[in-house]
Amino acid sequence: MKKSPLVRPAGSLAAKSLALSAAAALVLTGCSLKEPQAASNAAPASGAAAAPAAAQDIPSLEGKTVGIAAKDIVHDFSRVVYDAVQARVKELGGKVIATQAEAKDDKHVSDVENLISQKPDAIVVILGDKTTLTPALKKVDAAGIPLFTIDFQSEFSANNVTSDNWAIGSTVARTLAEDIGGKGQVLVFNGFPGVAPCRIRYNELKLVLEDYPSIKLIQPELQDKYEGTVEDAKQQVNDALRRLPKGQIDAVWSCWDIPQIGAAQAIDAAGRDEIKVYGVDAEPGALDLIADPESSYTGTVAQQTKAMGAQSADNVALFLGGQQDKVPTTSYLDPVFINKENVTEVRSELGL
Amino acid sequence: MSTAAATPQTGAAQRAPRRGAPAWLSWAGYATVLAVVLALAASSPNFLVPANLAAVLNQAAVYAIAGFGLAVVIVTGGDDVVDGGIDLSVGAVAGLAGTVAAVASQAGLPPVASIAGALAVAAAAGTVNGAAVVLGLRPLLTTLATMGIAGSLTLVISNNVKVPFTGAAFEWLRDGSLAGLPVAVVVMLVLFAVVGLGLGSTSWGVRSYAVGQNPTAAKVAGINPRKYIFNSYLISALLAGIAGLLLSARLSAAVPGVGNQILLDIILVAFMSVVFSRRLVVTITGTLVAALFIAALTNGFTLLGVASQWVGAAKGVLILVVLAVVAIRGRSDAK
Repeated sequence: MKKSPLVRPAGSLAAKSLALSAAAALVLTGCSLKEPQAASNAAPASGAAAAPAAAQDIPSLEGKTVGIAAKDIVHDFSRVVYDAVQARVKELGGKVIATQAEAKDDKHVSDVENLISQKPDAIVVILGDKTTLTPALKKVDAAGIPLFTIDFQSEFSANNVTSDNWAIGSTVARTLAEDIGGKGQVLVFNGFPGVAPCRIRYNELKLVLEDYPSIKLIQPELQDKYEGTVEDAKQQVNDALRRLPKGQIDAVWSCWDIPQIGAAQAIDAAGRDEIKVYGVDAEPGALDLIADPESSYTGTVAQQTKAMGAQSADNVALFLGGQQDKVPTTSYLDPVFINKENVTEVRSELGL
Repeated sequence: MSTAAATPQTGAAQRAPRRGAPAWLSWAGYATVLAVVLALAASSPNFLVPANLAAVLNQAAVYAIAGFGLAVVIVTGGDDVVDGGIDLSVGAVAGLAGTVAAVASQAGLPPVASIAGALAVAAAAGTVNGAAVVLGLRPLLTTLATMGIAGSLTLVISNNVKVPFTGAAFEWLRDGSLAGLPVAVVVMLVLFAVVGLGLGSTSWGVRSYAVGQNPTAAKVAGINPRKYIFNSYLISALLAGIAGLLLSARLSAAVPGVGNQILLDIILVAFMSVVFSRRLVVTITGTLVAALFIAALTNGFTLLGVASQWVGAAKGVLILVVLAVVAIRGRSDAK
């Protein structure tokens, strides 16, 4: 099952249909990797959700202004989504006011406030911290501006576009548990309990481990940082490696790839090849390490970042075009699991 | 050649030619701000709307208040970038104070006690800074060290997770208003009045400037520079503490690492105050104007639809302008 016959190089695909075919390929790749869970019922749903361009006519955004408040563009996920929303809004004829908060909560709040002053027709928030941002989102609501979010669930949001983080979390956790033989000690980074995707993935890890009583999370948990993440994580893991000699760490878990790049670097340099590293996001740096057979980096999950951005813009257009019934509360896009065996294949499929 | 411009300035400028600058330069700062504000107002009908102006003031408050404290330190310690007064710990102390208050209120302490605890911790940091500098340590390195300590303590007591800042009192700090202005803005204006009048119109202020510009002369005149320098660091830390409380209230949480994020902007507004001073020195009014200007610029760029990445570039240009002004002043000093 290493190579699904259905996953073919997408060489001749036209740009418009790329999203659809990528989505289909993703589902199939997912199947071939994760047979037990596999996707008997996932295919139709994802096909509809992930193929905005091919779906029904999207109303024009002519004369409409869409404000964008991204939390950051410091990692690949947010950078690509940020660009993809803007590109799709412009493609639909709309005007964009784009802000990004350099990963600073204070600036993110200010950006949203400033966008409210501009009175756009809709605001798209990309990622965000529930605690710090919610009062600002309440103001968006009070100003009567429709709010859309990406990978950030909020009570004030008309629609949230996200990967199925529950599926991501449980699959990473299951894979990890199975890979280390159902017992051992796991070092976890848990610095962002306020960031919904991270909280969900972490809770899924806990849930899966309820059925693996021999797997323990090493206490205290490590705290990853949003800035200088790689270097900081490398340092923290180096300290942990010194503290916990061979046999006392079996895997390292994080809700995203960036700290794991540092973790894998530290583990690889220390020659601790018994440790396996798992992240999420399919950062290019992480994929490079996964592709390296010598590296401890074992698995990550790709999110369909471009399709997510485009989906959000389409939802804005549908909503403003009077087709609010076609905008679901949440638009889920299927994740793709990547390990050492399929990394090259998935990279060429998704252009990662 | 530059004396003419200085003559209308205060009699306190005993060595008027030293601080003299071309007359046009004195007003160039304000003129630039005015031009930018007018340009923003002309290009976006949403800029001069009261709600937007309130938002700008609110966004400026944290930086202005911490900037007032840093301005006092620079005034009293001298504005030489390497040897003069500087407090690099303002950001970290603000972060620490916010975290202390959040942790204390989570532990069930009443708001007043949480706030008092936060300000006490800030004052302790200021005492360490002041004592070390008075003992002869370089301010730059001393406050770099306390910045590290405060940042580290923040991580310790918060476990590096956001600590929610909840309760009616803190929500009032965030969303409440007094006399039609957000609470943070009122706090900023009150502190502006107190510190600004103190530095500009009291003997303490005049002596602080004297100590900063020439400690030896100040000593000869019977002023004890150490007292003024020590107090300046205490004031700076306390104001940083207040700024940190307002920032945590604004974010509904104490955010670990937020201190490092705000430090550069605080330094920027304090030093930028130079261009709003006719004598080209750091002032409280200048700090307020600089903080408002930076907030207005960020806000205006958003209103104009300029990608926010450009704000960083604009700030960089501003820093260069300030340095250029200081360099021009240095040249006229030499004459």
